[in-house]
Amino acid sequence: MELSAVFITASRYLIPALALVILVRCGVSMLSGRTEKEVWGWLTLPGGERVELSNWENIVGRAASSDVVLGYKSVSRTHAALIRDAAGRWTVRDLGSRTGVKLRGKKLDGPAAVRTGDTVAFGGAGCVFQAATVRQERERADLRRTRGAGLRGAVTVLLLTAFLFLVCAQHMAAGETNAAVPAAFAALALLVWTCYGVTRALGRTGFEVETIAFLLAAVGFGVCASSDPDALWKEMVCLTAGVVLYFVIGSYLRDLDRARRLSLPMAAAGIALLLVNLLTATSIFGAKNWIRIAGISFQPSELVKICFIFAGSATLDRLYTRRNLLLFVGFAAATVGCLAAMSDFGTAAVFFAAYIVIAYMRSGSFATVLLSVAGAALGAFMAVTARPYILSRFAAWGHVWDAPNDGGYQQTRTLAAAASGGLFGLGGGKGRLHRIFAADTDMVFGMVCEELGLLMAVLCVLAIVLLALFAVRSAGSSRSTFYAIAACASVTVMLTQLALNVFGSLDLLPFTGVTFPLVSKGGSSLIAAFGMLAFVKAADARQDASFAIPGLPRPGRKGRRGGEEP
Amino acid sequence: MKKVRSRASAVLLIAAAVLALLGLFVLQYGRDGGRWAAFISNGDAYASGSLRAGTVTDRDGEILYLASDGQARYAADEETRRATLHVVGDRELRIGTGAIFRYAEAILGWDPLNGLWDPAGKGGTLTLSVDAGVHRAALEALDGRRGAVAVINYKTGEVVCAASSPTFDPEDPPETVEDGSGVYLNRAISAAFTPGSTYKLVTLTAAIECIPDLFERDFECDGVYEIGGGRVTCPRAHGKMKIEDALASSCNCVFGALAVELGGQIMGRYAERLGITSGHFVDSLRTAAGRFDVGGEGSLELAWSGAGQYHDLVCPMTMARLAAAIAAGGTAPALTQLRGVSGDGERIMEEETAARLAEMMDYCVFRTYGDEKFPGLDLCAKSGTAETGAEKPTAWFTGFLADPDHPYAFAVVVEDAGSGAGAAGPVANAVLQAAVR
Repeated sequence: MELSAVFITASRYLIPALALVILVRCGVSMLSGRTEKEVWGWLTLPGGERVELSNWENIVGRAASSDVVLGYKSVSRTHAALIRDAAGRWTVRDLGSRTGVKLRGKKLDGPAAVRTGDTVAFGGAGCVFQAATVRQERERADLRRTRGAGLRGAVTVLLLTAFLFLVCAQHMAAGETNAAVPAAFAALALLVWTCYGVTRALGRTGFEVETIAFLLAAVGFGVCASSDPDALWKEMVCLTAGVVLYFVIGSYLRDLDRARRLSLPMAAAGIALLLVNLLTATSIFGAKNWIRIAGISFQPSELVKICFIFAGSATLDRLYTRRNLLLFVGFAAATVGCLAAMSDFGTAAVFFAAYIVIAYMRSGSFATVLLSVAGAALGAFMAVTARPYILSRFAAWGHVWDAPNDGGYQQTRTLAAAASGGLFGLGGGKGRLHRIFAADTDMVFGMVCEELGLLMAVLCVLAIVLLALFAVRSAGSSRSTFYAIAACASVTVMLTQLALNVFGSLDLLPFTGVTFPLVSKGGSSLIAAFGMLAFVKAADARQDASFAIPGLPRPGRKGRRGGEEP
Repeated sequence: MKKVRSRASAVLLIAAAVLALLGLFVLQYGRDGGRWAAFISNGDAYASGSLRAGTVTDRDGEILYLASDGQARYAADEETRRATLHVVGDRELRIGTGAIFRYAEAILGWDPLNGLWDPAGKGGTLTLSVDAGVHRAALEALDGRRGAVAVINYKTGEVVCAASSPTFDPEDPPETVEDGSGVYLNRAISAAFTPGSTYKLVTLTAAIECIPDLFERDFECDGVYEIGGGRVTCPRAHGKMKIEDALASSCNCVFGALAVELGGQIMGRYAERLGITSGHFVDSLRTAAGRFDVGGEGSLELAWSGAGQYHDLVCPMTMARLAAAIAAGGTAPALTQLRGVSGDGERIMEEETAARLAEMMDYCVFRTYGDEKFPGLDLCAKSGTAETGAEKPTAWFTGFLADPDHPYAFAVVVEDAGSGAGAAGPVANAVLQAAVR
């Protein structure tokens, strides 16, 4: 007993300290260091300057934001696109320029293959194209590898294992006798090391995204151990399913052509899922967004998030076609509308935020964004006018202490529990907020504060923010806009969800009842969150870091393309 | 690609918003965390209505309430439990003025670093400014009658006594409570009573400050003052007198006439300024607001209100605060129920006014109530006998000790009891004797 008291005291400080070290190690590895750019080809400009093509998708134009800037009056601001596919074939296409593109002296009237040595004239500005050869690509990879060295994932994973052990041990020291608790944490540790093993076996070094996800999942397991230890096995099954989905999506994304072809089917699947949901779902606690199959409650809207990201992401060549954007706008409106019809305003807001980011990344136009926000505001206004009771759900916002047993029920209890824990918490299994319904989902921030302390809860938020920063950084160097948009949309979904969950329960935002990604209890949410992380992984173009990015062909294999060595 | 790269920073805006909200929350946590933790529905702070941990003591460290590991106990003897019930609070937390309700944050020992983490299960300690001995004396002297006793240290503003009757034993609370008994009410802080002649102190304050020749004037009382088609009466004709004797004999005719002369506006302004109508704070707790309706100018109602009848209502703590201000040279101290806490007082009358009032209250005791009834006390006081329609009048006695070693101001109210000096005076004496002991 005495020993357990000493352990609980010590572990209160050790848990956030370990989490901090893990996050700092991941953060340093994810955000620090300037790695060499990838180089896939060159364009020699009329003045003789040789410009590197460091993405698969490059804009040629007069605008300073172009990848290859041609400062001639005859060149349009956004003139043409030079695009490489996964197999190494390059195409050039006119993006509606005034003066046109000539390939080998012939005016272009559609996308055309371009090879090393070809002359491409953009509005009269003649350039010479050269694709990187396999050997050049490999040399580049070697250069990038040496520069980006220093990832020591194994140590971080060891620390993560210690973290898991401590959280589990706190629950045991607090008198938890349910064997499901140590079993679940042990299974989680096994899963972590299996994933790490798989990553290493694939010759990949990046394991930060996974580490962060597992760290959050471990906090979530602690929450579940307090509120409903018998449900831990279900969480573990769903977590494993999420990890499998993560690897499946990640692998699928390796082939850009394959991935982009999935956009339309995914959009259709998303709408279908929502329609089925809308028609058959049972209303559980306010929001009509649950489907019950064989005794298991399921929220299809969680999986729709993945469909949404697939549908919203697009390669560069499709960004400049208005029809594509309009299609996506229609799809997004239908999705958000369905969710609003289910009274799931929180998830509707999450999708809307993702839509805004995707629409902005695709169009670059503030007008589109403003128009969308205005449209959504109008829709919301009409909904509220038609059904004024919707507003009453948010009536307590900002003054929950005036109605602590009514509209402010969850928020006041979350705040009280959050304050109870102080910076270091009362210890896993020592909290009491879990007795309140939905404490382990909607009010999970309060539970984490109460049991593991405000520091740990803040670190959970920072973990997601770190993923977002990483996605933004990766977006800059990812090979295709498809990956960049998908990664940014994924983290937007997570950030928005987190903001609505955390700040809704703390009365800084309206309380909408969405989940904290990876931490909140709930199978479908866990699966979807891991699935979305695959998009972040696919944008990570650091050399040999991500399993979701194909490596270079092994030396000795035949060249994939007809280009000559220069 | 470069375009999309810069557009990706849109995500950073969302991340920045998340961080800003997180920062805001952390600030709020530092500011309000203790209040949140003390929320009555917080399972970490309360177990079936009682605080999980913490101690409440009186000013000398006498334990009034002790909770540890979720078990709460009150003082060891029943007399102390009953006498301090309204300042400590009951198990059901029905008594809103109770310390375990109002100061839960301090009793629980919440701090921003550790929250309510408390492996020893001891919680914090709250030292109240009240004196359990004075409370016991007050309850004994009230002798089962309804009433209240408020005692303030006029130098520090500490509330030494805020006793209320009827009361009960918090370890053995009544199953049912008689309707309207107000047993959950601390009458010293949260109730207001018709003040009777003690209100003449308010009228007098206004008169001293607004009528320049007040002390030169000769007043005459033939037992009746006719005004506004009605009559203000005294029990007997007081004859010719100066203002000192008008107060000492508590002449309704003189004070009725003064109120009419001052007019409703000035009378209302002084009621406000002396804290009668608005109430004031004891820490974060607002006292019951009193009432002062003047009626029309030159009316009978205005005359009677100047003598403390008509619709007048005053909270006992407010009356004690007024006495404290008179004792302290015109500045009402900031009141607190916590030992060693002090704030800035509020000047509510001129120093000269306070000195004159003090002199006259001293004279009241000498001439009317009798020094011998308050042995060993250097008392300045004013009584009040308020007709309320009950069988017997509400008895008031308020004043202070002109004794720098025992700087106590007080107000005693006994309902349905008799004359102010006769019924409330002895209670005041018993309480003050206990206080100076």
